[in-house]
Amino acid sequence: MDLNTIEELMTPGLRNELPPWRTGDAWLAGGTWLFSEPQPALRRLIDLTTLGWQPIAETPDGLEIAATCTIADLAAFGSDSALPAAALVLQCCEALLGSFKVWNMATVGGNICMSLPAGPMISLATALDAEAVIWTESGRGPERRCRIPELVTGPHENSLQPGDLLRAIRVPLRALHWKTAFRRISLNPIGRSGALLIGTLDSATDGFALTVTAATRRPARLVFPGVPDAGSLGAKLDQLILPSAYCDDVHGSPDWRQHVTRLFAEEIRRELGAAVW
Amino acid sequence: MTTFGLAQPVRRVEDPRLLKGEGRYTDDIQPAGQLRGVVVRSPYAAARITGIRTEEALKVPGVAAVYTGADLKTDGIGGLPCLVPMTNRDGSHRANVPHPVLADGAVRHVGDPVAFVVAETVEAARDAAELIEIDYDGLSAVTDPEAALKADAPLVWPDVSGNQVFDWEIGDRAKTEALFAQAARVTKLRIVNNRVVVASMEARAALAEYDASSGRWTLSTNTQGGWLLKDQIGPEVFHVEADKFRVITPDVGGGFGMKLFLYAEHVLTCYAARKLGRPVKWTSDRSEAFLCDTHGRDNVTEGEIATDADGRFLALRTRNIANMGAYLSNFGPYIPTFAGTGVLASVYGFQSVYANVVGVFTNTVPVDAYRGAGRPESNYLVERLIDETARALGIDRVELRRRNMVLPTQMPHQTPVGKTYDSGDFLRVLDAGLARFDWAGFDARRAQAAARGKLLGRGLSYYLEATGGAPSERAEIRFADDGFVDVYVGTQSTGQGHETAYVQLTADRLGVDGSRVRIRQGDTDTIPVGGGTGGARSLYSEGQAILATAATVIEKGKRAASEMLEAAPADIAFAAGRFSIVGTDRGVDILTLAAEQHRAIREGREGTILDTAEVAKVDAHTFPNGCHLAEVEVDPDTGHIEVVRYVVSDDVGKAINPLIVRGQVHGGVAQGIGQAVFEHTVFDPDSGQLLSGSFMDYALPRAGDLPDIDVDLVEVPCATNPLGVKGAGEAGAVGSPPAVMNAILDALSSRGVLQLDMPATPARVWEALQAAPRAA
Repeated sequence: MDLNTIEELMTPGLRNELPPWRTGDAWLAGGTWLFSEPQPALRRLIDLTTLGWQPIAETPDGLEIAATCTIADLAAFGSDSALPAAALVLQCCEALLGSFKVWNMATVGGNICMSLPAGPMISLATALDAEAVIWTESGRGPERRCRIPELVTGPHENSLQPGDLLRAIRVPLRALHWKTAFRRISLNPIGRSGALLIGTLDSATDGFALTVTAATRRPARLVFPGVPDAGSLGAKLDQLILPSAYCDDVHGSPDWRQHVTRLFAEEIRRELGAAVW
Repeated sequence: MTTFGLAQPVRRVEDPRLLKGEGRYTDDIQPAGQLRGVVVRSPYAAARITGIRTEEALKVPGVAAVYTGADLKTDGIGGLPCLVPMTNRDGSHRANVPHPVLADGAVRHVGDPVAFVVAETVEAARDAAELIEIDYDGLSAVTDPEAALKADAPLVWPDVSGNQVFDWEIGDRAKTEALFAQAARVTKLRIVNNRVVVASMEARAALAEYDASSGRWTLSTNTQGGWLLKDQIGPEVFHVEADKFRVITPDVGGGFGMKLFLYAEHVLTCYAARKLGRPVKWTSDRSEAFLCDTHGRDNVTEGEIATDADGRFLALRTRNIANMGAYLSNFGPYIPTFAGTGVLASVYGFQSVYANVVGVFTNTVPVDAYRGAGRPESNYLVERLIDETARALGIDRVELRRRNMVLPTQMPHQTPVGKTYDSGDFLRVLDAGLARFDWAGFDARRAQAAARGKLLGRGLSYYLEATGGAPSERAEIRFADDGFVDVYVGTQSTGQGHETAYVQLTADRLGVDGSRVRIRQGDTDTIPVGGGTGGARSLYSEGQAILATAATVIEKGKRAASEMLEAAPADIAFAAGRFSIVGTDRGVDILTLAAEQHRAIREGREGTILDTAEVAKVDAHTFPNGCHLAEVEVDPDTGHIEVVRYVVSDDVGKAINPLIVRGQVHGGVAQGIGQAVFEHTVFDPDSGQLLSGSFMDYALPRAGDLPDIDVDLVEVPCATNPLGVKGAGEAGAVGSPPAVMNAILDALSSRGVLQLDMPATPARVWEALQAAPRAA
């Protein structure tokens, strides 16, 4: 829909052209959510796409995915890349409920900053232990970095301050070589996730991690030095994710979400464990 | 046999146009000088309005006007009528509350219209809408129909005690009670028929134009028949004759009952067009549609079957609490009562049926007809109850149905709720379905599923639908100067394929090539009367009208041909589109004859115009019926359901176009599976907010979620119309919810789950398994 309260559209070409943040501003990337419902509090949009960030860059340290990278670009990478984690990239893209039109516009950064429990880019970035690169103070201040579970703190809640700009997520090189396992459930197969879990296994270290998203109000990543036994995994799940942390909405009750989380966690443990045992 | 012959699977002639984007929908109409309207809606489910300030909104550039309820009241604009008179059990009349077009000092559901902004552009109207200041004094709301009946429930209408709209009954209560008293067994079930959002592909829209010189409006809007709107909006709302309104219905992208009714936006655009002297258009967006289109279903029903020692059904007793929403829509009270209870006896030989229906106001969007309109609800209850009875009696569910079905030799069959079935061979249809489904091969399939850790279940339902609608229909056949035959119809396609089926009928009767026949619909000026489309009535109603009209055309043609061929009228025969002198090779085809008659009249010679209009009385409605069989696979670990097999054995009477019939059934089954497994309209019980207000949170079935749907047509011709047709528009949505839910319960019963309400979402299924006494 048209955002009829917008008075100004800024199109900076360089970082130093980013304007000082003020009340009523919003960063604009794909705009698929911004333009999906009335935004009466907004007066100005600052278009990030004119900054020309490279969507995906393979660096010696890993992968840098620009906040403005579209789901379509990321999915193309997931399809084309031979990296072991590429399959997970594609699975997470496909977990985003949206038509090809949405895929062509919606961005990785937008999905993360929206901070919904079911945001699949949150799931992906959390699972790959990615680091969020944040430009502070209207995007012109010092750079801050944090892991995704520190960034996304609840439904529609995150640790970004007004004027903070998510520049990119950086996936460490080692994570791109992890073996992964993916489980997801929703009301219908192409629908908003009720639970989305990802397991990763670092073949070099046998390190195992379980990422829990969509079922919970905020993402959680449980790290183990090796593939745990079922009891240890269950205990840690119960210890780190309290019953009150599970979502309660039309997609499913907290009890069911806790159950499928445990179920999928065990399935993932077995799947990845089979590669080690 | 021609390309357009009857009973042929002719591809829909309208599809190339619609698929290539050449359809013309209401929002596509762009008259010069058009203004755009935006409705300001209540964010509260219940509140008093203590102030509305529009001054700032009026200052927005491009804004032409802002209207509130006070403006409508000043100009004497009436409210939206409910068209259903009803008498309560105690002889009193049902509650009658106003349905103001704009809020009258209070709002009663989220989305209730409060103001109407008209501007040069939608953007300007939205800008202005945001500047309207409305002071709300929030009140407690109630959204659940059972909760609304409790003594301490908030009142939606202060004058309606206990929120009770009506307390209605049908059937012989005393006889039913007596049969229950002597029953060997009574089986009870309480079920919830979940509220669904209609979700037509094309959202509603209205474009009003007013001609001050004639005092007439032209309202272009997506309806299921403009005549119903015209007859209400004129006399009831604007207090003028109905003919002051011309309602034009262009292409329509789905209605499913929801587009039958008069809505506030029809009135608002017409009101503004007259006030401002310019065309005014309103188009709903998808989010708005969730809040301003009528919803469907939303019943809580208790049913009981009394059986004798042999498992014969003696009597059926039901008590249904039906959520009406905050206002009474055009036919809201009709749906769970007259429409729904008419099929409670279904295809079974109940000696008596008694139904009590209580209508309830809640602070929710009004409820009205949705594909099937009451009949799916009743069939769902009966078919679920029969499975429960079979379980309780230890009788095979197929056998129990078979034992109680009305036989063809008993036709016509009078039911205890006042319906007379003209035809039906329920056992034959059932057996055809069972064979096609491979019901007997289920055990092997179940074992295979079990090996994969899945619970397989099979379910069946035998539905019976009673079609409905206006008691007459009109057709007019005109021979156009360009050589085409134009057929003007009083029904209204919203995507069903009327343009094809009516062409087939006309081509068959007049013996012309179907490519020379055009169907004209949707203009109340060129078509003076029409019953519209709803209740699966179109083919048997309009079909009879087309037959009657074609017969008159042929009679006129014989007279004209006798003149042209210089033979006695009695010697003229008509066959295959040609009038000829019996026993000779002399003759003339109907198109040439019609053209020649037109030419004669134009040239001042005598001639007989073949153009004809006839109104056919529809004395009896029809009873489509059939057997739905579903197989579902349940993942007991997650609760996820997959419908893996689906067969329909349908008696829709004679199928004029089997391809269209199957398409109609497919669509209905998709909607039924949607209701059974996916769709759930959820209101927050405290705030009354719609929590499932977008397709992100309201799960519609997609093509990939549906199985192949195998539709077998078992034709048992209808005895009450010459075409032998019964109707297929609603059938799929009637039979599918109980078939799917019976299959799910068949799968879950091995784990002790004997009751589950729709929708069977993964969470619900899993929770039922956990709560079951014999849960694994």
